[in-house]
Amino acid sequence: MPEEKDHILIVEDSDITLYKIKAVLIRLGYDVTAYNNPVTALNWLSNVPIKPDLILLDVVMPQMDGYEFIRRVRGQVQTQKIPIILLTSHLDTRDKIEGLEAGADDYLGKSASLTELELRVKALLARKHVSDASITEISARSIAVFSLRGGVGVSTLSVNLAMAISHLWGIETCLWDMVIGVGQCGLMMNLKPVTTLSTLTDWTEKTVDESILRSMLIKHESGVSLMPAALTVEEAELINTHTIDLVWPIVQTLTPYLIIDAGNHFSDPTLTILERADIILLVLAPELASVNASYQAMKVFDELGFPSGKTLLVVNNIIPSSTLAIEKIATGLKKQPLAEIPYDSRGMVKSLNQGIPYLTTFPKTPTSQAISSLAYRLSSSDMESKKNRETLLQLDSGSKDLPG
Amino acid sequence: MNALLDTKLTLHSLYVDDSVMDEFKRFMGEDGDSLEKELIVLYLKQTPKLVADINNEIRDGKIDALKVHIHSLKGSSGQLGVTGITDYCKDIEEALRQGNLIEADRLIIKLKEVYRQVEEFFTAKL
Repeated sequence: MPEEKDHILIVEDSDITLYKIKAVLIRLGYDVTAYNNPVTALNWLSNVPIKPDLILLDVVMPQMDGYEFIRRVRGQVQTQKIPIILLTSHLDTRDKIEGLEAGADDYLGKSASLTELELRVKALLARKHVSDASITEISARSIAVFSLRGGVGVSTLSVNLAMAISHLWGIETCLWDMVIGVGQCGLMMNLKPVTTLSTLTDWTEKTVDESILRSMLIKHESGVSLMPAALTVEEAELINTHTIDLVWPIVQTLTPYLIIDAGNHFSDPTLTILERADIILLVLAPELASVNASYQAMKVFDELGFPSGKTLLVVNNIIPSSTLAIEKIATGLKKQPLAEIPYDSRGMVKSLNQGIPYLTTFPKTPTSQAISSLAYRLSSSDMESKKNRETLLQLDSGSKDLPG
Repeated sequence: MNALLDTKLTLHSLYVDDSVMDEFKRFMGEDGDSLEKELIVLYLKQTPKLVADINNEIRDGKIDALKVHIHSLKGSSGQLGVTGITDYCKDIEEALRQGNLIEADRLIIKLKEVYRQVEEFFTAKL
């Protein structure tokens, strides 16, 4: 199979420079996207689902200078880690400082030799691939989605994340709704629960049969199977840590991935689930109360001895213009968010009212793309290596049939 | 070799650093010659408008736009090794930094003369 090409974005207002650098990079084997207008380039960058691996950027451009372009790229979670080389014709110390402050990774004089261009591009891409490898090494089969603040989109993210994982790999994914009384996940998918885990309250045996748990699952056409929530408070009280202990060994093996809507308050069953899940996606909105709730949750996780890498932040932009910049959230919580979900409250409400998950109704919006990208980051490491193993096994079994 | 040709060759070596496009052609392999021609065509197509804009902007005192266009001309000329133009652009940028519009105006007149020569060299190459 041919190796996937690295993709480079060039933003340069001079068509001649653009033409020449593009020709050189194509010659070197890269995929190239070129824009002579930084505003158009930013627009493209926000909407393209798979981001480029590197940006070559001019400094002086009439519509927007390169420093502002970098600040905008660094301000978005989806693009903030893309390496940027500034192309500049004057390299005095002041320019270098301004570029570094804005977030450039390297500089290249426009009069530099093409060999220097080649080497700098190769070096930055190599660094990026090492960094990517460490980032995507998230091996999470059970993912609990949680927040200590209500209304930040925990259920919405749980449903759509489960759908995205199913869609990405063509697999069944179990979605476990732990939010009492509302059955939010069921509402979003237009699924009506029949039996819930509360029926296991009088279970006296030490184990529960897989078929019993499977009989509780409600299948959705997307490939997601819902383990429904208790529908009343009385029913919910019947689900305790004993129930979780009983079902956990089985429920986590029902499907390759288990997504748990763990709601927005600490209860004994919730804490048991948060402790057992491979990772916790801690959802927050870009506002102070939400950041504070996340801080309190992380403090509890710390006191309970959860490894700090187990908790991953997801910023859900549920308000049209955020009051808190992502950098401030990262500084306040001493943790870089893993993902930022763009705002689309109208679409979310519309899909909720229709009982059709957002990802199905609006598959191409930036919001859906961000959720799919998050799903990929959480599952690609395992799924890609599984695919590779299967290919090797097929090759291995195929080779046995070859004549000696 | 006649005197006129001799003078033209001297001017060419003064205004154009051939090593820049030679490196490009080596890098691009068998496509080098045709890509060089495409770049020259693009340069000859875009530069007259840029030079005209620069001329109008110094006349009308539109200094911010002038700075951007001088920068752009310097960049594109540099890509083809047209040092005669890039050197003047640098001097004009310095004059503008010092707020010396009279000097900038004088240099822009010189720049236009140099561009006419460069246009002639490049057209002959096509």
